[in-house]
Amino acid sequence: MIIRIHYTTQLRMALGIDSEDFEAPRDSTLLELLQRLRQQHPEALEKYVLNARDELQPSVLLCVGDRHVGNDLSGPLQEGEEVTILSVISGG
Amino acid sequence: MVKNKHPDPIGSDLPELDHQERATYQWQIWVPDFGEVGQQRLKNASVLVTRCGGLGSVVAYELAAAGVGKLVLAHAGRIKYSDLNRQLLMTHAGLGKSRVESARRRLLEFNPRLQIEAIAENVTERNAEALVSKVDVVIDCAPLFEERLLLNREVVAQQKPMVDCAMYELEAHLTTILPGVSPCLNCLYPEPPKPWRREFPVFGAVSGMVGCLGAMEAIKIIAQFGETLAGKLFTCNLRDMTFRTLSIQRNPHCSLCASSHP
Ligand SMILES: [Zn+2]
Repeated sequence: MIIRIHYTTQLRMALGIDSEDFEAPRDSTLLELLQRLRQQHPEALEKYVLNARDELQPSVLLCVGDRHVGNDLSGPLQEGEEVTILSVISGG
Repeated sequence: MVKNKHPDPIGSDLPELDHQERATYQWQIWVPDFGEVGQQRLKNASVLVTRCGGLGSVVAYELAAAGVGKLVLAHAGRIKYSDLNRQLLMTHAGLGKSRVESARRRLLEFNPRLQIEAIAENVTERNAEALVSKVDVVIDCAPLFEERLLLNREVVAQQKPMVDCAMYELEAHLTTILPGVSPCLNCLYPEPPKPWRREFPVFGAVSGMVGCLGAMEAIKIIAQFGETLAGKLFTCNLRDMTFRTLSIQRNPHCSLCASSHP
């Protein structure tokens, strides 16, 4: 299934892209999706999103559609869903 | 009324408007669910703005324009060239002089009725509690996460609303924290991100836009009308004009707000 991923702020700058369509096996969970993304973009994903021990970085907010999912990465994703990875920002 | 229920930060013993104030604010008093009572509520309100940089300058300017009674401004340091692409309360003539004094002077030129307490300090462990205790509403425009988390801790402890404004490059985030009702910053991120630097890419037009939005959130909280961003995170990217409002959740295990406001 195809999941559209949106990248923001520092993660977007590190990757050089705003979004991408990502192929993931049917019924993948959010954790499995992030693990696959980390294989594709190891340096930026580890630094900003999911470390090597599969722990979320404390400054990342994950949204499926327009809903923040907190730290629960166990929910299965559906074909056509959009995942937004927000790195929190503090510019004044 | 605002839809997000929260203790009224202003109270009901409101000051009368004089003739000059009615004339000045007439066009906003025409907003039907704001009205003269909304203006009296603004006159009775005090707001902390920290710092008065790209965001905070515009927040403070818009609140001065709207007729908020008192502003407490906290911002250390002296004006540098690199402030002048966005910090609209600073001037070339003021280079090398106190930022917060420049902000005070510019605001009083615009609205001489405004009461201003100008404090030449940024938020620290030592002053955070006292700064928050001086006001009804806090607007967080700090460039360091450590300052934001200190303010957050204090608004949760003192049960005061806080508008959190942030920007980076052409993107912005904005939310309103009503302690016990909506997520606090510690629910969203309990510690500062490691890679963040105090210096960041910024256009004044981006920080100014977020400042206007943040000021409007404070006006709605004070005058108790419209719907705030409590429980929601507004995000935008002006590079491609994407605007979104995401729903955000309280962390039931938040070390700050879960025990004091279950
Ligand atoms: Zn919290």
